[in-house]
Amino acid sequence: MDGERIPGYKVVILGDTSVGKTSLVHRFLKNEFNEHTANTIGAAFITVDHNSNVNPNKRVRLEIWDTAGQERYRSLTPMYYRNAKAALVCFDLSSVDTFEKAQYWLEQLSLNSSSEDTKKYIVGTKSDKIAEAEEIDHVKDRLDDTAVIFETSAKTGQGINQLFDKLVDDVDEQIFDEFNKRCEEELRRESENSMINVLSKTVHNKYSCC
Amino acid sequence: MGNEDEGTTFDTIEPSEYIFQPVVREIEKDLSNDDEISCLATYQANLYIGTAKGRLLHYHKFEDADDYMIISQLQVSNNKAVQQILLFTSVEKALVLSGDKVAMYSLPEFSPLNIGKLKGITGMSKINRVNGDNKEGSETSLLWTKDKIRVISVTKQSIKLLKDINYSNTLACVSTLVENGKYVIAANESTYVILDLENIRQIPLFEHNSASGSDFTPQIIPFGSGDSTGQEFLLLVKSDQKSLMGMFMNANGEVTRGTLLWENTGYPSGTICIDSPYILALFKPDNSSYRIVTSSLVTLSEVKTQDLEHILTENQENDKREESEHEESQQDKPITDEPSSYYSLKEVECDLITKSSDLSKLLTQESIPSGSATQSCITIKSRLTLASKRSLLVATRYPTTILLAKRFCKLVANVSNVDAFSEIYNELKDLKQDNDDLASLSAQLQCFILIFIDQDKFLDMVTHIVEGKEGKKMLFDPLFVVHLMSGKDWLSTVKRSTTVFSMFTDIIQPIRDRLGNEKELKARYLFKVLKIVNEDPTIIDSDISDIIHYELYSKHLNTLEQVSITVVEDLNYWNGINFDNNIVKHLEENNVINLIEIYKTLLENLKQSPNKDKIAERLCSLCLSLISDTGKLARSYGKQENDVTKKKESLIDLTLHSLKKDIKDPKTYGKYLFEILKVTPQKGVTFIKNNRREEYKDIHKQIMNQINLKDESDSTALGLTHMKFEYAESVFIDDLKRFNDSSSLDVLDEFLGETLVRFTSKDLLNQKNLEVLHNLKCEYSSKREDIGAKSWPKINWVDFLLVKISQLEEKLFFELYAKIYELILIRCRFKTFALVEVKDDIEEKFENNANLQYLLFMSLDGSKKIEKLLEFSDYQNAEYAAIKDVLVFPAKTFYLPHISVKLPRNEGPTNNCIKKNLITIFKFYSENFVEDQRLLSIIHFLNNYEKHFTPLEALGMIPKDIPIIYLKEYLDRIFVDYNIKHTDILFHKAIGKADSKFMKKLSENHAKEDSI
Repeated sequence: MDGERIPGYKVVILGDTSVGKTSLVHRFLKNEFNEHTANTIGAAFITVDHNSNVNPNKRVRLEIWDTAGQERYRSLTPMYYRNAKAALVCFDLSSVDTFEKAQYWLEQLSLNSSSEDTKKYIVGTKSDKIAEAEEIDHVKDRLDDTAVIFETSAKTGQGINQLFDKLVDDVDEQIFDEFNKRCEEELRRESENSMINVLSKTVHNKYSCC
Repeated sequence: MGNEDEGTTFDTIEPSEYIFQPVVREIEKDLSNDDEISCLATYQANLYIGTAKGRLLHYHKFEDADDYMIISQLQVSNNKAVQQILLFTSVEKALVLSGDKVAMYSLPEFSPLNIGKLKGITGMSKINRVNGDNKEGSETSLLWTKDKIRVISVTKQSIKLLKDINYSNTLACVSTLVENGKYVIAANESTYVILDLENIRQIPLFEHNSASGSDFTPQIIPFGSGDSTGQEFLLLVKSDQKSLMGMFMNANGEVTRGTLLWENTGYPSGTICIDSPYILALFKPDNSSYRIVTSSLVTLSEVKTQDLEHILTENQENDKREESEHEESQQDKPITDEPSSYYSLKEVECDLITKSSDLSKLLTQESIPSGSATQSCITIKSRLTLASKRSLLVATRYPTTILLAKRFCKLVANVSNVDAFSEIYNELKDLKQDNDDLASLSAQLQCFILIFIDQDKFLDMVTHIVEGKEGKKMLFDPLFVVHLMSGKDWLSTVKRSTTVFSMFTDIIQPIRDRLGNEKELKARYLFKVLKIVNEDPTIIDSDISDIIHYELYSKHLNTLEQVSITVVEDLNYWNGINFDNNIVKHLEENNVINLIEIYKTLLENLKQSPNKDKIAERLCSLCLSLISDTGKLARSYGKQENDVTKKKESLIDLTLHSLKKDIKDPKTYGKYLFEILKVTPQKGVTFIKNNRREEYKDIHKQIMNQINLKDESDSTALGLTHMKFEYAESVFIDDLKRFNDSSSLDVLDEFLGETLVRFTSKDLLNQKNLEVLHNLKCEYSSKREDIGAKSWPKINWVDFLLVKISQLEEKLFFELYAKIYELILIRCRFKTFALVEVKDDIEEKFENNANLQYLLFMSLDGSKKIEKLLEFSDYQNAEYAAIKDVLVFPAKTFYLPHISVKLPRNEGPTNNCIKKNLITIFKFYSENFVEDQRLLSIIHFLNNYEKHFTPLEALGMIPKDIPIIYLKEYLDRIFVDYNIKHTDILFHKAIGKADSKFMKKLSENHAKEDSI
């Protein structure tokens, strides 16, 4: 195996067109903001290793599918959120209409039985455009009490690292356990049969959130 | 590629010819400048393209898009080409070989699975499972390294090694699991072998490359049905420096077919694909361009060679350019056996779908009548791909339907051969069509063929109804069928158009020529469509329905029976249409007879239609246009003018029938009836007489009044005059039945006037009739006694006339004479005879003719009347008038029986007056008659009128020259009567005397007793 072995964590980013999904990822990865980001075609795939600020040892490889928000590609989106561990459902805080689309994706995620385990994060983008907190309150009123909205701005960077930190913080311990188990199994097999060299490197570290 | 612009015509299409079409038109944009396609795979609507720079492009075919669209890109390795993508669809996983590493991804989005990579791998192959159990949730595959072949299992979560087999320098490998026996066919640098996985042993097959140091790449191509016997492998063997052989065998290593040889072709560039029943091989012979050689799997011989130069379209200009650059760089190198990898043929797992410009051209449809061409976007599905470095094409054979259509076109153009047509039809009918256009082409082709081989089936097919998205519709556009049958000329007047495949445009006319003799077939088709439309009008648009109707009614109804049957089926259509449509216009100009039949049938069958009046009016108008123009009538029936009498009569009857039954508007009724009367007064008046409904009374009267004849010598006018009278008479008779009292006398006066007018018209009151009348009068006067009865008086003049009428040729004048006589008699019973309106005219005409003046005798005073009657020799009437002061009704009366009331009695003359009248008559008899007649009349007189005279008066009147003995009967009666009276007196006297005596005696006796 090339490089450090850490568990993968599939994240899909959903939301209406032009709510700022790609800018969110871009700010997170490169800490940059481009006002004229082109529309995403289909989906973009990005991987990045990220650890929790709360627990630096809790580190995962975020496999991020940045999906296209345009109607054209809506039929493809289930392909990306299938088996995803987390879904960031984005909407534009300055455009309440986009919240309707966010609701749609939340419903779709709930309806899809295979995505029961998908953790859902409601992400409000472009918080820099919001003058008054009241507008956010209107949106919050429409959600149930348990739902949390992450207020973010790719332009200012507000709330983005916190979002991904939270994402990693929320990763279940079980994922690390299974990953470690698999690594051990491969290692055992490797030692048992010298002919087989499936895993090119031995597992150097075992990860744990604790 | 069959591009007409490049000189290849579609006429030369062969079954083994392939169409090549780009799959991703804008792939250039997705590949970076120095990148190129290295491998590909398909899953559902997804296309995965691996590149030389280690990228994986994920394309998706949206249902509503023409092209594959890129939806994601992955960098799977750093600048190392993606060599192979192996898909495991049951577990939705993919293995990607790049460099010498294999990584696993999740399908269909191609998410990387973070389970590590397999290293040192030089090739991969899936295992073909034949009749074996597939463990649910896993698939097996072969990976080979420099010295091993590894059997692995791919599950949703991981890759497991199942077995390692030592085998060095593997170049190709294919495995088949036959039930539980596991065999692998593999090849190294020199030999093909079968590896028995169970028993770990090698079974050498044969060498594929005898020349040492050659870089020939062996290939093992599995194909076949997939069962234990059908699975086959094609193994390539280098024959000599420039030739290649193909060996066929099954999983057991047994040879299944002969050897396939590609001579002087060099070695396959890229690979070889099998698209049963053909094998496609891509070659680049020395100093030649790339070509695809197609061979038959059955005959194992070459059947087609296609140059890639013709295959490449403008879209692949870049390829052409790069290809030439590639060739230039190769020219410096020594010739080796290494296959050129510029192009590669590959069969992918799932169909690729793309537009085909070639098929679109082939399936161009021509609009009729405009002639404008329309190309649909035709898509093709195929697993066969031809990839170059920067382009990707799919290859597919021309659809069989197109090939059959071409074959048919050739046959039609040359000799019609029913057997050949049947052969094409049989092949065609069970073919599954990939798209709507091919289905339409097949349908049109079947339609053409069936015209030649089975017309009943043809009719069934062209009237077949299918359930579409927007409801039921006909499989064949009726306009198309009509066009096929009728040509283009009619289409100029139609707004709608139809289409025919361009490849058929040249054969339409030959087919139409053939159909030229099948008029019945056309009629049957149109009739069938018409029935369908009547059952469900939504099946075709109303304008097409109009066309169908026009075609049928204007061209294909040859008998009136056909017209009638058609209209009965088509009542819904006619019930709701505007009668100024094309059908009516056409028939008015070209076939009035059919139009009349249409109207007639409609009137007979439509119930409570608001159009009935209008239809009847049109029917009458049309009929009259023919009735009044014999020339037109003859032309319409295609007969000579002297041969249409019956037709004319029938049209008149039809008109009158319609007038009576269907025309409600009195004005219209009157208009057409008047026209009929002008043409055929006899029938017209008979009709009026028989159609004396109250609502028509006024209009009938008006019509009769309108018949004002200026020239009575004209036979038609004369006929009309008479008819007019006949009508008036019939009305009068009707009126008589309602005749209640004298207040109704106007009717009588009116009719009497009509009768006198008729009687005095020139055609009746002429010299000839007057002469006959005179002769009759002479005959009557000369008669001495009653005809045949030898009694006196003879019958009255009018009765005599009526008896004689039967012997006359011209009866009318005399009949009218009698009728006038009767009418005057009736009139006299109500009031004094007077002819206010016509008196002058009649008197003038009667003035000099005693025979006519007889009719006016009734108007004379009593004695004058008797004198005139005696003068006229009508003694019966004279005697009757003497007693009653009126004349006697004839024995045969025309109107009297119809009078329902009793005629009023006249106040008869006084006895004195009667006596005076009788004396006048007696004097006339005794003074004017001689011999027997004189005697007879006197005897008759005395016998009949004795009561008006005493015997003395009577005896006194008798001329002295008459012997008294002739009056014996009278005298006997007189004396008997006298004797009776005398005896009675005597008896009375005797009884009186006896009574007196008795009383005297009784008185005396009584006195005596008193005295005692």
